[in-house]
Amino acid sequence: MGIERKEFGVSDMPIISGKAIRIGQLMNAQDDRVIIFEADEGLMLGPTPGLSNVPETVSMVKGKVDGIVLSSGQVERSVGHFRGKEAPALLVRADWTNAFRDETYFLPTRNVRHILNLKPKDAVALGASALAAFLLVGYDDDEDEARNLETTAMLARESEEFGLPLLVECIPIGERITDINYLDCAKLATRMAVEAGADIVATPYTGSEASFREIVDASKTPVLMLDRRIDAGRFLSAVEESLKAGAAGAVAGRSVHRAVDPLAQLTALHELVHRS
Amino acid sequence: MISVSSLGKTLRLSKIIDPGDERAVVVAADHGFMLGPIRGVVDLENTLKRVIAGQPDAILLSPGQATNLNHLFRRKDSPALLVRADWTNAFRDKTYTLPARKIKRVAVASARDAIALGASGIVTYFFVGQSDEEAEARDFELMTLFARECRELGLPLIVEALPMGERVTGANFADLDAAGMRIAAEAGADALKVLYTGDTDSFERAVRAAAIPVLVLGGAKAKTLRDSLEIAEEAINAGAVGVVYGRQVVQAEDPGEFVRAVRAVVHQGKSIAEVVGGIKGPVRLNVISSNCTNCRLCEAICTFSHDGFFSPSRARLRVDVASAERFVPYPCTLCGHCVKSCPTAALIFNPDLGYVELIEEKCNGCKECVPACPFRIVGFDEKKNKPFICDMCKGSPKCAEWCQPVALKAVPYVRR
Repeated sequence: MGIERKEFGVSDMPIISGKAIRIGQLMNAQDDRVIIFEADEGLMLGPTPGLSNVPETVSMVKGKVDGIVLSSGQVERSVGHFRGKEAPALLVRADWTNAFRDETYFLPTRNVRHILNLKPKDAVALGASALAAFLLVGYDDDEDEARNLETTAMLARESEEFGLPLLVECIPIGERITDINYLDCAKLATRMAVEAGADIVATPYTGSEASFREIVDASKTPVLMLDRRIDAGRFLSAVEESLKAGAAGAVAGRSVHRAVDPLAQLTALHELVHRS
Repeated sequence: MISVSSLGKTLRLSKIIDPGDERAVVVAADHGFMLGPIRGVVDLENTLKRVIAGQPDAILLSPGQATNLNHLFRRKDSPALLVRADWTNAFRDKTYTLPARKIKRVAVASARDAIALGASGIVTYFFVGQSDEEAEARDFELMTLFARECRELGLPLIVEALPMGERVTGANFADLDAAGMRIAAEAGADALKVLYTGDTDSFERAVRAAAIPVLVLGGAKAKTLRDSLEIAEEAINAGAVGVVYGRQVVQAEDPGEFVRAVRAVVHQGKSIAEVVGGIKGPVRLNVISSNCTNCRLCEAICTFSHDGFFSPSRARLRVDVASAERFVPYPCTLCGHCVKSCPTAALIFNPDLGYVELIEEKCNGCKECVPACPFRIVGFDEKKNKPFICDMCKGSPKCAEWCQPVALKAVPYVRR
């Protein structure tokens, strides 16, 4: 994936890096596509419905997804589900944010914060195949966005050192983000992540195949559709359109574990991503 | 004693600045990092392949793209790789989708990371003129940190010193530019990437005071190829070693052709007229006197471009006030009276571009040509003891270029 070599010569010698092997553990080898399941919501929102028992959820989804994002604290409880070659790849969440506590949450966000929990070395020690981190744009204070980007870049540099792939979830969020500037901000955030050194980027669906293609075209690294800012009923059609736009797969969280029938939802998602 | 690290710096810098002529043409392509996928960098690999066809000396990329596109830099004749080691929101102006409300800047790669990527140098910003002095101090601190890292590893540090922020005005711009350059040099920069101050004198002083190689960047002023070449030519005359062009190149219709044109001016010392051509071959000036508003910009630009200062008495053309409403510009018509009058054959027609050329070594200062001119536009420089004669600005007359009402127009000259 990613590293295509049309001709072979010294100048095309691939960089020797554990990244290639670990990305191989994550992506589906047949179609270079990926479904990543986010089971780390508890870190940011507490015990939400569908994720009140993480090992149980992991056990339920593991046959249908290529990778699962966990917070570092949940790794130990679920570690058995990641054993063996057939198991999904483990992605560890490197950061924390309160950004997803919306107005319906019992303690809504008043000031978006973003904090680093662990470093690539810690994720390597946990046996992770990749690291997941957020890059948020639209902070009220430009200082916060700069700090977030600094963190992204730092994670990228240290991940390179360990050959650990870095997934950056790029999300325009906050009062400065409107329907009008959403697409441009998503394009900005994903491209910033790519230039900072992300190996895979994920961003919420931008509403149309054409607009999502703009993001894919400007990234040239695998782009995944993130299931935020989208109604549960629209999820599968959004995934389908993203794939048509060139997305390499999807990052699914609440649209699966909050679905009436999570397993049916996952099966449909799997059909779309890997059999379409 | 020569330190090992200074050897590394010298060697790596020689991949950026050509040691053959001490000149450099660098292309910046890190826009996506600061502004997202703007025109020209959406498909960066495709753009860079076209850029590389023009053989730039070096290309500046963000750390992520330096990794992704590393394969473009693996040949002996590949451009040198420069890595952007910091990020800023400073270029998101009020028209941008998410404008910056305060200028922020953070480090995104270390000198060690850049070495691991195979870079020949790193580029970092240094902003002077921010309203928050704390921010400027931190900027400075970050620069010295990079300088120390680079010294240890023998990696050239190129500082992009820019007047930036609320305290920058038209009046203090040149001073801030010069100050930023000197401060960066003292902090340990090995070369500079800076904006042209706007005039030769102040830029020359700033370059001399910095005393390290200076590359000028295009900035917003360089809109066309001609603008870019003019800035390159002027800056080089004022002591710069070359240019770092970004948007101008990546958004050009043919980026490779653009780089080749800049190389022709920077490395081969060709004149802009030779490179751009505008009109190929000889030109003459057409006069449309009904358009003339008597603004006299033609006289002003003529002396400024030839002599470096404004002095209408030295202009190689003049505007005649025929009546209160009628003004007639008299430029050189290539009539040849001066050429015929010259007893030493110091005046000739340039065979390629058709203008009258003065061969200074042959001129004895006899002044015969002055009264020979039927339009009284051949003047005499008493100090140099030589006439000043219109040279059609070697093929691209400034008077016509600057004439807003188009009373003067450069057209192909057909010899009768």
